[in-house]
Amino acid sequence: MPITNRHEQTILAPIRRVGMGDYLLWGSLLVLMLAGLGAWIWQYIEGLGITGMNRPVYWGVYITNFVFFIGLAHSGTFISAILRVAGQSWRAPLTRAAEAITLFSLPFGAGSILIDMGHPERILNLIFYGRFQSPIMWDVTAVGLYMLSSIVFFYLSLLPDIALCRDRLTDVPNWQKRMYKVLALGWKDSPEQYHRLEKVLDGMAVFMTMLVVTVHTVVSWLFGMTVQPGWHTALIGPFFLLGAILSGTAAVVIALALLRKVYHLEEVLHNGLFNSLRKLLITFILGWLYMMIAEHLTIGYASMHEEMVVLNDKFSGTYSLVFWNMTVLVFFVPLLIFIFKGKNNVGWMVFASVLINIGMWMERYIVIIPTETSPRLFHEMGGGSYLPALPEVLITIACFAGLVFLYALFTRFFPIIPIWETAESLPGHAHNAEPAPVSSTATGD
Amino acid sequence: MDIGGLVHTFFNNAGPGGVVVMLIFGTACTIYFFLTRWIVSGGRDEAAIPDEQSVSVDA
Repeated sequence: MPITNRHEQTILAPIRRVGMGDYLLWGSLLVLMLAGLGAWIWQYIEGLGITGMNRPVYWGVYITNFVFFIGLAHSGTFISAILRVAGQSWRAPLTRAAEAITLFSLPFGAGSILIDMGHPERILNLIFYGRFQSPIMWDVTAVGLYMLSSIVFFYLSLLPDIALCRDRLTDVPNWQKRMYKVLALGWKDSPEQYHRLEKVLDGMAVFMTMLVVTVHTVVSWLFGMTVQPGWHTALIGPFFLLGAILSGTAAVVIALALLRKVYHLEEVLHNGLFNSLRKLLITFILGWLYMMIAEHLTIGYASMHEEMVVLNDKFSGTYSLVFWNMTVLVFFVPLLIFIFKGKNNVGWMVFASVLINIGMWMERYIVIIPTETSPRLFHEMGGGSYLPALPEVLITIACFAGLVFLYALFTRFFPIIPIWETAESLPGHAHNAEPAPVSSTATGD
Repeated sequence: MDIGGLVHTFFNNAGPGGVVVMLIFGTACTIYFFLTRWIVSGGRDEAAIPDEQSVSVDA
């Protein structure tokens, strides 16, 4: 019996029509990406001196972007792997949209490190002279393995749908048909294949869950293993991880709402899914606030001189505007929206999720820069100041444009909703998929 | 044999870190390759059964 999914035509519709609007979007994003590439070449030739970074501010927006994109990448693993392990079947329609964010954020996260190096070929030093004492060694290993595993996890769960495109999309160009044929690896829709696929995905979900914790903890240790004020705390690992899952889940809400609107997927991506995500987001926001208070209260109560310089800079000094705005954007406004306005209202949900992501980028910035401008060896190195220069701004815009470009491109060539995972029946009944409820008030609540 | 010294040298010299990174990636690639092959071959095994039977009948 072939795959039966009553939403198949709706899900495949975006693949059948690539319009002028798509070309315009892709073109504009490519222009932004080219501007970023130009800025990077300029930086490569002139050196990092043309950026806003200076002594002692060695890390700027590139590292902010690195932490932010890696955090964003946690969305896919959270929705797909962690909820899979927890047996949450409502997540099925969301998985691919979330995993795609992971897949397309990671290159820009890892790429930000290469950009920050000035000369990316320096990464080879890690292979030739790598030392276990170096947190960057752990970082490259964890992020690299996470990227590889995410690609495999994503590709495996996409495999039956690529085969479906190969078999059912007869009105697409020949090159596209050939692409599906090659990528489908000869998938035959046999019950045994589905059985094996489910088995491997279940196993990988457990591994990915461990990886996701490892990756962002290791990212945070890049900071935590130094003795710099504001960074040297055991809380930094869970604090970073929670922030990452919060921004990632908020990014999923934005992506899903856009997909639903642009591709008319209201029946598949119903309000019930958004309500479930809303409840998760409320939990994450409260968890993040707990971490925030625990972190700053401990430091403030101890009143160590170097720590207090950074803390005062955040609370009432140079960076107070960024700090308090960040708190309002990540905590106060989204929480009020989710509790009082967000239920069954996707527009408000998206608004709150955008605020969360802007706030989380600011949070990454506020973690990095105040410590850099007031390092522990302040009396020897002197204080510093930092303002991103033009190349950094252009490269940052290009990274975000790149993420949107890859995402938009993907949705035009592959089903963004997993057809086989949301199917009513599969060959040999190997998969017990429950059809997603269509009522706007169903599930979550 | 000074095992402690060997471990100390391993962790305190430049170089072995890179080897381990390559080893981790290499192992992961190999495992993922065979897992993918195992999943995809699920259908082929079933398709092969009738052919094998027909060959034996002919023989």
